[in-house]
Amino acid sequence: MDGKMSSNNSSTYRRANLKIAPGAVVCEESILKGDISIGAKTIIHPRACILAEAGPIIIGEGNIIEEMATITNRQLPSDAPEPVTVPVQIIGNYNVFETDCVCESYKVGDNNILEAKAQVSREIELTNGCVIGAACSLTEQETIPENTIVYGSQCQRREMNDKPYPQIGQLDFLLKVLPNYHHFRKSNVKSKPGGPL
Amino acid sequence: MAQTFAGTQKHVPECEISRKNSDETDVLLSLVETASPRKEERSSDAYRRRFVVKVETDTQGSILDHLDVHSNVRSRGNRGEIMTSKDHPLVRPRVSVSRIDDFVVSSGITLSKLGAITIVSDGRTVPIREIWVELESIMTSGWRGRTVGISSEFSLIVSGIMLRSVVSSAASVDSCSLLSLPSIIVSVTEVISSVVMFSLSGRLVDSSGTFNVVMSSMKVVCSSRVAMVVICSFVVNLSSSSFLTVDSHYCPNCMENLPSSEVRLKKNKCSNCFDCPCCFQTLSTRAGLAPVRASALTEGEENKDVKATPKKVYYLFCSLCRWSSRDAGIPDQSVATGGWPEQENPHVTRINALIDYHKVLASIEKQQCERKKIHPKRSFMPATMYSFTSALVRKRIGRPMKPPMQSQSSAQPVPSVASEDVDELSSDIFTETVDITKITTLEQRLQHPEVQAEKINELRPQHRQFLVKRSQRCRVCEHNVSKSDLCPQSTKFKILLAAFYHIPEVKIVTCEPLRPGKSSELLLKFCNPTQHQTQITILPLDTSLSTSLTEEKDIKQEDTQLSESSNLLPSTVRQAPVTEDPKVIKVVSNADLMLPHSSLILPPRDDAAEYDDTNDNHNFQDDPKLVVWRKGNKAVIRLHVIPHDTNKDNEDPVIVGFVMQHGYVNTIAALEHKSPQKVDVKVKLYLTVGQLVGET
Repeated sequence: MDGKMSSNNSSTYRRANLKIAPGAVVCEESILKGDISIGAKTIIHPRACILAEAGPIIIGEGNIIEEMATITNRQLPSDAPEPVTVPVQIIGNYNVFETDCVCESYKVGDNNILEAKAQVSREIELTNGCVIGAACSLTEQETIPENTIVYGSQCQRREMNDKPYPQIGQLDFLLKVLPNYHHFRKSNVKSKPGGPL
Repeated sequence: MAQTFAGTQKHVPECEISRKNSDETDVLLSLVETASPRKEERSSDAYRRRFVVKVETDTQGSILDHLDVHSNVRSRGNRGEIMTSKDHPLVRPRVSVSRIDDFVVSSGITLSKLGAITIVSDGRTVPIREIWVELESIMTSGWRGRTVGISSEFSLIVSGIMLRSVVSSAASVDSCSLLSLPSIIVSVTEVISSVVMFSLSGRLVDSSGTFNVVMSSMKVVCSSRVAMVVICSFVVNLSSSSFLTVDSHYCPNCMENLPSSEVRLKKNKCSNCFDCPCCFQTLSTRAGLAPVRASALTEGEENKDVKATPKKVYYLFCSLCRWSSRDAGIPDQSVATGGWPEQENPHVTRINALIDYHKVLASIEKQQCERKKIHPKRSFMPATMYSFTSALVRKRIGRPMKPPMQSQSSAQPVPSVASEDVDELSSDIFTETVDITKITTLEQRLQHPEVQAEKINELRPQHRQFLVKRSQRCRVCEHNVSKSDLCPQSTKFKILLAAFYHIPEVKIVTCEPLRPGKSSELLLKFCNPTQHQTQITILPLDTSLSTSLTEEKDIKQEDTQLSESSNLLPSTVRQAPVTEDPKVIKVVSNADLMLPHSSLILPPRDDAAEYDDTNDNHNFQDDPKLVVWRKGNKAVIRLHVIPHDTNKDNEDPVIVGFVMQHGYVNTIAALEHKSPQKVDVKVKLYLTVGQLVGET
């Protein structure tokens, strides 16, 4: 009883920092900590984990964050110099974070796909249309050029001809199906007039 | 001009006289002897054995008027039916054939001596150019669809006379025995003018002049944990010396199974499936909608109903690296199955020229081989055993089917010339930055050696390579030891005779820390996989394995991997398609083993006992010093290892060796011997028991 109470308390506390745009589907069972804003049509599965430790996380529209996926704005290491500004993690639109991937990247553009078990660490900027293949990990500081795919056990790279198609069909499907089985966190932000669709 | 006289009588297969031109006559004469089977073999439904001597001479005259085949062998009773000239429609005049051979089928075949052959033509003795001795034994006895056969051949040239012997036998086994003649040594003992004396002496298991047939069935062995070890259960022979033959080709993606002739035409590649040129995974076909412009075009041209359903197009797509045929600029196809443009090999004319040239070379070489030497190995007797055609006879005795063609030296292609002229590098090679993502990797280039594209967008999908299913045969008796199911979808084996199912499994349980010169306790677990009780005795490493039943085995480390080596029978003359040579054991033991005085009895495997909790110890009178634990068909024994003092500073692991002797009940040989045959099999084992620990 006690535990439930306290968890309820903390969730209400968290909700203060949690901004969910109308049309976003954020499952109740997702783990959200810290200052997080979630754009419209973004779907966050149960057990997805978004941790804004060091600073706020801003997630754009139409993203799919699957279960066990982790998006962290990680606390800087203690020996690192104190940052001048609060580090903000920005995630663009129509990205897919598949099961059990870890994204610590401070900036993710649009139409990226992190496949299952992919890992992207903090110093990496994902631009647009990148695919990080299953179980591939990127650790060194760099900016991944557009339409790059990282695949295979050796993390080979290739530039794709075209960016991956946005998962519109999957988004619509999840929007339809998830409400049948899960409770949602309610949106608490009014949609901005004139904002991007 | 060649005439063929097919024999009309039952046992006369054929006699052929062929005449090349007026002044040269090749006389081929086939003589057939049908030996009646021994008593126990008479009971089999059909039994037949044939012994053919063919003689070829160069005679001036056109008619062979005398042929003598004398026997200088003491005839052993009237076992064989001897064909004389009277029976023979062709060489009627004065051909006398006496009994050439006595051969008796026992457990093997005894071929001791043949006779002397004289050929007289036009009143003169003519030189014999070649003699073939061919022995075939056939046994058919209500067999059930299993044919086993063996053949072996060799030739000798002595004093310009070629003596060739082909020994082959094909047999089908049901309950009866005999089948193979592994090898024969032919030696020409004497050459006196036109009389050739020759003898055949067999050498197989021993060199006593008899053919001890090594037939049997054999078993092999294969399991995930035991290396390929072949066990031939008649002459129980444990070895990995088997040869591999390719059974079937199939595509691992679409599971299409093709005959090998077609596979060669298709260059071992599947025509339907493609590999990704980028990451070598199999490509899948994806359906997409045609780009708008293309559909607009079709709209204008075609019927209205096309407009209603947008046209579907197909492209190839790699699910791993997301390469697609659109990346390479290959136009989409309107049909899901194929029609993909083939990549042209830029060197195709040169390659074809070379292939043609080598075909010519091959045929020339083949002709020369056929003239001079060994027949290509016949693995099995053809079904046409009883009906020799003239072509077959020609082929069998090694004459070319047709007169040799003149070598076409004109077909020799222009040799390649090395050139020093290389195109200048463009100057921007030093200034342009290299974009490594646009350049193919070495692996990608070597995947398609004929093109070796440099730029990533020049990569084209490649046809998927076929895989093969292989079967394995014993080198000694040519029995299949492992044969997989022909159906590509099936992962089962038709025949799998793995040593794993016949030889006790040995596992290292624990070993105390090893110190030089000090005794450490070693616990070994033995498991009897067979349906028969077996007795395991540990013998010193230098025990002779030279019983008639010999084998060696080598165990490495705790994973009990049996690698092997073998003590093969001298198979001097045989040739196998792909033969793994017996591996030489180079393991040296560097520790002593205190051998137990008693032996260990293991009860047969009982699957039901696995579920039985009652601890049935079968009341074996175990030596408590030896046997530590026992359950079902498994037992743990205690041994003592003393590492040698010499290797104190050595980093090498401690290896201890011994000979494991175990009783083996040969149930397959029992088909021949009525009662199961029990043999003691000795196996050399080397155990890597661990590292020395420093002295404390």
